[in-house]
Parts: sequence; structure tokens; C-alpha cells
Amino acid sequence: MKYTPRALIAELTHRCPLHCVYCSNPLEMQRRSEELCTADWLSIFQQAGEMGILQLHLTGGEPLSRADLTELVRAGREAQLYSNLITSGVGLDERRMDELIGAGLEHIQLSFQDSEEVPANEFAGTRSHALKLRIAGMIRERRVAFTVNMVVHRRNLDRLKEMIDFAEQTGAQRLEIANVQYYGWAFRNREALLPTRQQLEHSIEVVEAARERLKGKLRIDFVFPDYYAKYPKPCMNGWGHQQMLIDPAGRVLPCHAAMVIPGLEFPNARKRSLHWIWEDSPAFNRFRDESWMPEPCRSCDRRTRDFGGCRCQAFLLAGDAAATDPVCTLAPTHAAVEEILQRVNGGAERNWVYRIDPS
Amino acid sequence: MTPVQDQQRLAPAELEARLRAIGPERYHHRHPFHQLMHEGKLTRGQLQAWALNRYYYQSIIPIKDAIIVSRSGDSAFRRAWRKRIIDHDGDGAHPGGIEKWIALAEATGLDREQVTSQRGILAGVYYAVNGYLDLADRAAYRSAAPVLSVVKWRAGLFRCTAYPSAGRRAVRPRLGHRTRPHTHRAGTRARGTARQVRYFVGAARCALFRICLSRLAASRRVPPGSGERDEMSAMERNRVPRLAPGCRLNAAGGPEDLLLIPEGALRLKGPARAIVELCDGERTLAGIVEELQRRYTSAQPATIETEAVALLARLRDRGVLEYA
Ligand SMILES: C[S@@+](CC[C@H](N)C(=O)[O-])C[C@H]1O[C@@H](n2cnc3c(N)ncnc32)[C@H](O)[C@@H]1O
Ligand code: SF4
Ligand code: SF4
Repeated sequence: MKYTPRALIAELTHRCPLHCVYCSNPLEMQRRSEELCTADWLSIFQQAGEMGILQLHLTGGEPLSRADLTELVRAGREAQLYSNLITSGVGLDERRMDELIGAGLEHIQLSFQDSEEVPANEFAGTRSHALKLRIAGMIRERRVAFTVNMVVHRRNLDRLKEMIDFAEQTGAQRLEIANVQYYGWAFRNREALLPTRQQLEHSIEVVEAARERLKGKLRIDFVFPDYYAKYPKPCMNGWGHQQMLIDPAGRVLPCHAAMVIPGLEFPNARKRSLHWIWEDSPAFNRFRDESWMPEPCRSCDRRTRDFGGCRCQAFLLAGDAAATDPVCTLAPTHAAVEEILQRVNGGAERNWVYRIDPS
Repeated sequence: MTPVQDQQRLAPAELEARLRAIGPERYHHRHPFHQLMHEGKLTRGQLQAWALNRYYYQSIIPIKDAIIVSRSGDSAFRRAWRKRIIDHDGDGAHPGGIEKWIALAEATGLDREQVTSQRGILAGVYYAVNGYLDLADRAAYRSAAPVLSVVKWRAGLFRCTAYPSAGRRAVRPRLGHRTRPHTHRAGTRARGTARQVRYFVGAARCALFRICLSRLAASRRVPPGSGERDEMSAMERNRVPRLAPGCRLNAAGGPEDLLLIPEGALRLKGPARAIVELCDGERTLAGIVEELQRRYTSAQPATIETEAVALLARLRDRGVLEYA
């Protein structure tokens, strides 16, 4: 079976003026000196367009930290890619926004840490909330698609209703409420971030009521915390099935967390063509089909829907990237997840560490 | 496909191959409405409209089977066939398919009375379903009776994701035990049946699928939440649709026609691209329909209007289209 890549996630830099405690970026980040140059990205976008990739997600770190962002957007557009900017907003002003839109930027996803300034700044480890509010106003005034992203966790989930009201005020067309996914810094901080079961159940009701109320006005996407799920998420819609990610130093990965998996060599876009990497590299083929699957996945009906879950999570929680995702209630290693949840639901707040800036 | 009745007698193997081809070609799982359902993209209102309208169809199935039984002179066949009536009506102790359909409709938020009263069923659905009864009733198809059983429940229909709830927990209304393998399946094997079968079976199958599709085409026109038809009202006619910010068509002439949107891409089939292209922020809805009717002279003008209005309504529900 042949897979067609549909989306390219371009992590332009790991530099970021914020220090979000839930950041999914890897603990080991690439420094500025290792970053791909403008010409490297231009070549990558061109190849992506030729391969039939449709969506370009410009992210990071903070993509606005790249001085050549406008140029990159223009190149994406020339390569027929649809460009999305995933941003904290820090680094935007009216002039830069107009330049970006003029260069072909089609969608801005702006992240907020909370609806209230004090906790928002606390989670970001930076005073950025007030600035983000001004940025939201600027986006609303322009003809560009606008999504608000809010990452939710134990410390803000109880304010979800207020957060949805807040998102409605920003004038965005979409709201993505993402429960923290436990990778990178978030994995490091997970015991402080995991919501309680009670919080989660309540939040689902809040989301359902809000969806009903805001129908036709604000689309709400809700990313479930998979530690609480019965079955795992179909991570990336399958390893090497639809998406590829390029990290700031040019390494090409099937997802943003795959660097944690030992024994896999991720090819660099500076050295190899995207086409070869997608079609032939051992890393992209490693978990592509079902041949790697152990029981219970191998004989489970759901394997074509969830692909046995997330490989990175299997490694992080079970120490084996080729195990059934431990969040699956059928997984032999599921007890590891239950144990964490028990601790989390037993009380005990924990401290967290802030994401650092690789400079 | 050439109508089977115009052809000479077919060799059994060829007949079987042709009959088997009709299903994959025309089965309603290929219908855009069903595809949206499987993708979990229907609104609650659309799902309700589907359940309500389809209930009418469910409710006549035992009547159809009773007609078939009444036409057969073969007692073994009648014995086998009457199981279907029980499957649908229940046996008094266990609920049958109709009861389960009501439960499914209830799961979408309708109440029993609303469903069984048959109020609010679309005219198109009403005629299509009655057409199905007529088809069963016509003596010409008598020996093709087994063919009518192709009415297909399997896989597709019940595996719908009812509007994703907050937890992305797919609500999966299932009818449970429903299909017991029928002894006289689908009639695709003209096993020892009379010669006419070879002539009629294919035509009957095609007719049946046409009926099913017209039923779906009718229910697709239901706007979300209202349970009513959405013919272009006078007010709608003058609205000027255009793509919402951040939504655009991909470059023309590529391998596929796509509408690129922030969440990904929507695949456009057939004339859909041309319809979306006409949403230029200048033309009114009425103007768009007129232009399409001018271009596609071989299609019924009314069909064009229905299809175009339905497509645009779906895109608007999806937030992809706005009124300028
Ligand atoms: C890693 S950030 C990079 C882009 C930019 N710095 C920002 O924060 O928008 C990409 C997106 O993922 C979200 N995010 C970050 N960490 C996450 C996590 N652990 N789980 C879920 N979403 C996360 C952010 O809010 C943001 O929308
Ligand atoms: S620290 Fe925050 S703003 Fe920076 S990359 Fe991570 S999530 Fe985005
Ligand atoms: S056993 Fe494997 S395939 Fe089955 S639900 Fe769990 S992770 Fe998915």
C-alpha cells in the first residue's frame, strides 16, 4: 500500500520567548547555530509541493523568532502549500502580520494559556497574555482564518467554561481545546499537569454544552487526554501515513516526539530528498504497516483505526517502542498508566519545571 | 451499465458477475450523505433527519416481505422468507428491527412518538419508499423475489459515528443481532431458479438502488436542526455566498479537486468544484443556480438546483462558506 503525505510540520526553530510548563518540545533542543537556513527550507517546501503535500504547518518553538518567516511563507505559497502559522503571537505586530498575509499566510492559530492573565502568565513563565490579547484583535480585523488554541490541564481545567467564553470574545472561528499530550517537557511535568477524572468528566459536559450553544459560530475541537481513554489515539493517523515533521536542524520524523525512540536513525533533509525519506527510509517504514505489531494489537479489530496507538508513548511508558500503547486498556502494560492516574487522583500537587530557551 | 433486460440470455457466470457489480457500483455507502456520516461530519439535525426518514423505509419492510411471500408458490421458500417478517416485527418476546430502529432514532434525540407518527417525512422519501413497495408488488418481478433482499444492512449503515461528543467518544448506534444469514441471499446466484430470473434480476437490482438513492437524495436536503426541506426561499435566493477566510480551492487541473481549509482539505467531486468557483462573492445563489443550469443542459434543472443548494448548505454548515 502506498501512502501519500498530506501535511508537513515545519519546526522552524526551538527558540521561544515563552517557557510553557506543558510544552511538547523535546527536552534536548536544537540551538540556533544548528538551524536550517532559508535556502534549505525553500528546497524542502518545493519538494513537499511536488510530493502532493497540501498543508504546511509553520511551528516551533516560536516560528516568529525566525527573521525570514515572511520569505518562508511566500515560498510555501509558491509551492502550492496551504500555510498555517502556529504561534504564541510574541513577535507579531500589525506590519509583520500584513506582510505575512500578503505573502500568502492563510491561517493563524494563536495559543493562549488561560482566560485569566495571572495564571496564563504563570503557565507560560512569561508575561505574554496581554500582548496575545492585542494580537487577537489584529487577527480578527483581517481576512485570515483564525483559531484559538488553549492547552488544558489540572491547573486550569476548572476554568474551562470561562476559557470558552474568552475564546468566543476573541472572534476566532475555531477553538482547539487540547488536553496536554505527554511528550517532551509535558512528560517531564505530567504529574503536575494530569487532570483528575472528576475534572475531566466535568470538562466534557462543559464542552458539549458549549458546542450546542456556539453551533455555527465557533467550532470547538477537543483533544482528549489519552491517559484516561479506553483505547489509544490514532497517533498522527498512522506512523508515516500522512504527515512528516522536520525539526529545526533538518531531521525528518514521522512525528514531533519520535526522537525519543532509540535505535532509529532519522535522515536529514539537508542530505536526502524528502521523497526518498518518505518512501524508502528505514525510519518511516519501521512502524508503517502492521508487521511490527505484538498481541493484543495483532488480532484486534481496532488496529486499522488506531494503529496500536503512539510509538513514542509506548517507549516512554513501557520502554519499548514496539509495544502496544500502554494507554490502551487491553495493553499488558496498562497498569503503568493506572498507577499514575491513581497518584494523580489521590491528591498531592506537584511542582513543575519550566521549558528553557535553547538560544 | 446497459439494462440487463435488453440483452440476450446470459451465461450463469456472466450473470452472476454482472449482478455482483451492481452492488459496489450503486450501494448507498458511496452516497455523499453516507460518506459524511461515516466521517462523523453530520450535524445532529442531519442525523436525526436521516433516522426519521429512514424509519419510514424500515416500517414498510415487513409489508414488502409479506407481498413477496404472497406471490410465491413454493412453500419452502415461503417458510424461509417469513423469518424476515419476524426479524423486523419481533416475535412478541424479542424486539425486531423496527423497534431497534426506533431506539436508534431515540439515540439521536428524537422521541418515539415523533418517529412513529411519520410526520415530517420528506415527500421524496415517501414516494421512493412507496415505489419500493410497488416494485415488490409487480408480478413481473415475482421470480426475482430473492433479489429484493439485497436490501443491505451490513457494515456501513449502522457504523455511524453519531456527532462526536466532547470526548471524541464515538456514539455507535448499533442494531445488535439484526442480520441472521438469510437462506436465499441476494439472488445473485440464479441457483435453479426460473429462466426469467436471468432477465429480470438485474433490472430489479438497478431499480432498487435507484429507489434507495432517491430516498437519500431527498433526505440530504434537510438543513440541520430544522427537520424541514430547504428549498431556496425568496430571501436565500438573493444571498451572495463566498468562501470564508482561509478557505480556497487548490490549483485547477491537478489530480484531484480539493477545497483547502484550516483543518485540512475537503475533496470535491463531480461538478462541486465548478459550483464552488461560482461562489465568487458577486453572484447570488439564484444566479449561481441559473449559471449551472445553463452549463449542464443534460441534467434536470430541478436536480441541479437541489444538488447545488445542498452542497452549498453543507459547506456553510462546515464554516467553509459565508454570505458576503
Ligand atoms: C509546541 S507549540 C509551537 C508553536 C507556538 N510556540 C505556540 O505555542 O503556539 C504548538 C502548539 O501545540 C500546543 N502545545 C504545546 N505543548 C502541548 C502539549 N504538551 N500538548 C498539547 N498541545 C501542546 C501549543 O499551545 C501550540 O498550539
Ligand atoms: S514554550 Fe509555549 S509558546 Fe514556546 S513552543 Fe512551547 S508551547 Fe509554544
Ligand atoms: S489492542 Fe492495540 S489495536 Fe487494539 S485497541 Fe489496543 S492499541 Fe488499538
